[in-house]
Amino acid sequence: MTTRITARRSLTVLRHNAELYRHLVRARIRAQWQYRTSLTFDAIGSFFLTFIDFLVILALFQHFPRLGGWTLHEVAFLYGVAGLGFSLCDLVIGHIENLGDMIRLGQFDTVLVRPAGTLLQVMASDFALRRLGKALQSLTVLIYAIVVLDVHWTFAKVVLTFATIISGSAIFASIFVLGACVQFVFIGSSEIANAFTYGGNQFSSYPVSIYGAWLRRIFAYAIPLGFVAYFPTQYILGRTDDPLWLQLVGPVVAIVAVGLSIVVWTFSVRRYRSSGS
Amino acid sequence: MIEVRDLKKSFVVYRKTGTLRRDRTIVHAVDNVGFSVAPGEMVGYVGPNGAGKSTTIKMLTGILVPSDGVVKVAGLVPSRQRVELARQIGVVFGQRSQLWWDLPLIDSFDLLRHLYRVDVASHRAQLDECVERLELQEFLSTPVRQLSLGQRMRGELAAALLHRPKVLFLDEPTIGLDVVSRSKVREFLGVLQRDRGVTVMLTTHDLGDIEHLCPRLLIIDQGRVIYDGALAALRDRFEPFRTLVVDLAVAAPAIVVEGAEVVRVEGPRQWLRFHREHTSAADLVARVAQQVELLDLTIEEPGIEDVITRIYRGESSL
Amino acid sequence: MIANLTDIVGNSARRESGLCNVGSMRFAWELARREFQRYATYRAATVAGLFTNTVFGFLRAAVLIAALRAAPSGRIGGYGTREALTYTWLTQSLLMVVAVWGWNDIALRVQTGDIATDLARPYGFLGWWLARDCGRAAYQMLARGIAPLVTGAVFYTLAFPSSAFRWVWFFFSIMLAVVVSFGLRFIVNLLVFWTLDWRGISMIHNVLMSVCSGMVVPVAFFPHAIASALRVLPWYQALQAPIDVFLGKGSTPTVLAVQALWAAATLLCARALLQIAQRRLVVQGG
Repeated sequence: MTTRITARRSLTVLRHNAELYRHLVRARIRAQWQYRTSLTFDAIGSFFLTFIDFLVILALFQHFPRLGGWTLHEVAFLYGVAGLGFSLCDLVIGHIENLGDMIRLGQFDTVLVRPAGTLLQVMASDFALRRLGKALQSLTVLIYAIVVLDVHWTFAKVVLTFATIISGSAIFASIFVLGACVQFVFIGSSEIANAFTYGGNQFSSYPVSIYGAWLRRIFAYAIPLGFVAYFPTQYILGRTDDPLWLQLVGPVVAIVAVGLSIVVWTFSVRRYRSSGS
Repeated sequence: MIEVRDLKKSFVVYRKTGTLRRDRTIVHAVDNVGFSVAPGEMVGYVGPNGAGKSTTIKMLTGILVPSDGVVKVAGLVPSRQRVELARQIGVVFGQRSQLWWDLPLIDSFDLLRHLYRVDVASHRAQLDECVERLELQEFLSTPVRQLSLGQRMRGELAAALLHRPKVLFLDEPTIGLDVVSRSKVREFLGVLQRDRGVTVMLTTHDLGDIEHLCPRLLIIDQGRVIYDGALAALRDRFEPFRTLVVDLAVAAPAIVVEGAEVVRVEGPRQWLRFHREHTSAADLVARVAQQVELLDLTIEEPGIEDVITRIYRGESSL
Repeated sequence: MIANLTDIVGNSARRESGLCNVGSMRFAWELARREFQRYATYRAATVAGLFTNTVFGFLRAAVLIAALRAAPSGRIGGYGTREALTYTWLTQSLLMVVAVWGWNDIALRVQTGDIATDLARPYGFLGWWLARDCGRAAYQMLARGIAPLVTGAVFYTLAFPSSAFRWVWFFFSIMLAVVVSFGLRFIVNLLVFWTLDWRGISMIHNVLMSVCSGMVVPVAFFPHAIASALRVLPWYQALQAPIDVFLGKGSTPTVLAVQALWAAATLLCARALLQIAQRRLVVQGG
């Protein structure tokens, strides 16, 4: 595709897309709000269910003071940041794992017949409020960690914390999108992506230093989950496990990851339209 | 408005033969289809299951990319200009909904306004008209999931037209509808095409739809267009026989008369089949009246269903 | 209508006790086999699930290895590295077999009302579901039980039992674990008769199963008092018990005995609850 779009035109397009997204998502929220008691129970339930992962960390740390050189509270910070990144992403785009169902039910044909981008429409097709349960749980752990740790806060560190959570979400989003692209080819395969989305969350909740060489290569660098929490957190907590540039380059990695996933998605849709069913 | 030339679409289909081996076959769903639809025309697109109807429509609407050939809808190439084309077309799928399930119908209309970027005034005007014509007023605030099929289909039609598309694609819109809803939909479509000049392409199994709505008929079978023309001409061409039904004063054995053949006798009523080109109805009636005393008579035209069924079954050659 | 329902309920209660005669055994086997075959058709989903299982195995193994390395004696709760790794891969192997993350087939049928036809069938409701669950468990054993353990053995050094007997006890233990797990799930599902918000109960069950069965962390890693308490609770019997038998932890006869007791207890409790539910169904007129 070699169409040249001027900066102003792309800004307009962006604005329109954002507006459209807002309207569609508001509709989804309104639809869910009709069942708000069930929704609340779900959210509370998942708050406690997701707490179990942190319970594991607590249980383990009864037996030693440091894991991979990190203390319990430092790991809690990692856990909170990674968890927030994941859950916010899950909230916005987690439902893309149902792409196989969308295709099977013909809903993706409807997407193709409408005057908006396919990925935008799929993203806007849901906004599962019940996933706020995990978000709140991660936030709780993060706040606990912040309160207990003696962090020397600077403006840069505060900005980096927010930036890390957002870029963490973006990195997870790219994994979700890439996982969904597989479903264009193998429709029943939605669970495979779980290994890298939920698995990715599990991985990034712990210091990368505890993992062996191969796991590190695959999960921390190739799939850039190291940048979801581990590297940036070092800067915030004043640790020097890894060089400074690694600690700060997270947002750039996120942008690259998102770009890559959009490209792969575009190709996947084109391929689906050519070979279809 | 719609231009199709040498259109082809092939799929690679894998079938398992044994535990590990796979059989690779190529299915030609659409095999050299060509036709043209002028602006404001209403065309019926008919064919047996698996004939390639849906595949053609999918290529016209941008869902599928053709394997070969030329497709142009409203001057745009669907496979390359999907989004722009989407603004010019409306699509209604009979078997699945494009509305927002949990929300009132009116909310779906509002969301579509944002989706298609229609200005408020124009949207309002079009909406009011659709609501009036399709009688949607009573259930505008009902969640779509609570609507009956007939109500939902009317809603889908309105939804497909809110952005004033130039072309409307309908895929089995009357399937499963009760008689009242079906006639409302047909009436609406008829008005739409006459007054507004919307080009309509209607895929259907319901030949009643065709009879009521489509002056032009495209029949597709095994990926090829086997008929493209007026409905009346189809009847003339493939079902050349008409039937004269006579009620005799007294029951009698089968009449022997030149130019016709008795195909059925029930008491005093007899059915005489005659070829429309070889024998005129008036002459035949005269000849029959010479032989027996007639009380009453009617002329039956072959049903379009019969004609098309026979074509599907290959009993009528083209 | 209530009169008819009483007949139906009465008949099914009578037939429940008939599970143990030969004719019923054959029928139970057929049910199990059908369920096995039914699960076998979901091949793509099984492979995908197996892949995810295996990846999680690697991730959890890494955490435990690091944990043991960080611990002062290189051991935690009596687990060395090999045992911890074996625990990890065994949990990944067994989690689908004992359906750790619950199961809502019965609750769904109650909510849709299909339960009435189920209870009207001429065979014991409890036995019917138990037979089907055994079929399901058998399939999961084969499809998702063997591969993770083998993968773990290939990439790590695991602590396999030294005697053949231990393997036999291990399989017995798995069977008992399946029954206990089934009993618990059945009870939880039946609670949908009494509570409108069944999903809340289901989540509580998930939490209890995950934590108390040793799914997320070996029970022995908890403080001693808590660990001892958990060992006599039903959730431990569903997953950690067979693992402890495999690793030779604790007295195997005791573990098996407690499992058997809980298997019987949960089934009895399930049956009692079922009878109460059936009576409630009659009172409400369906």
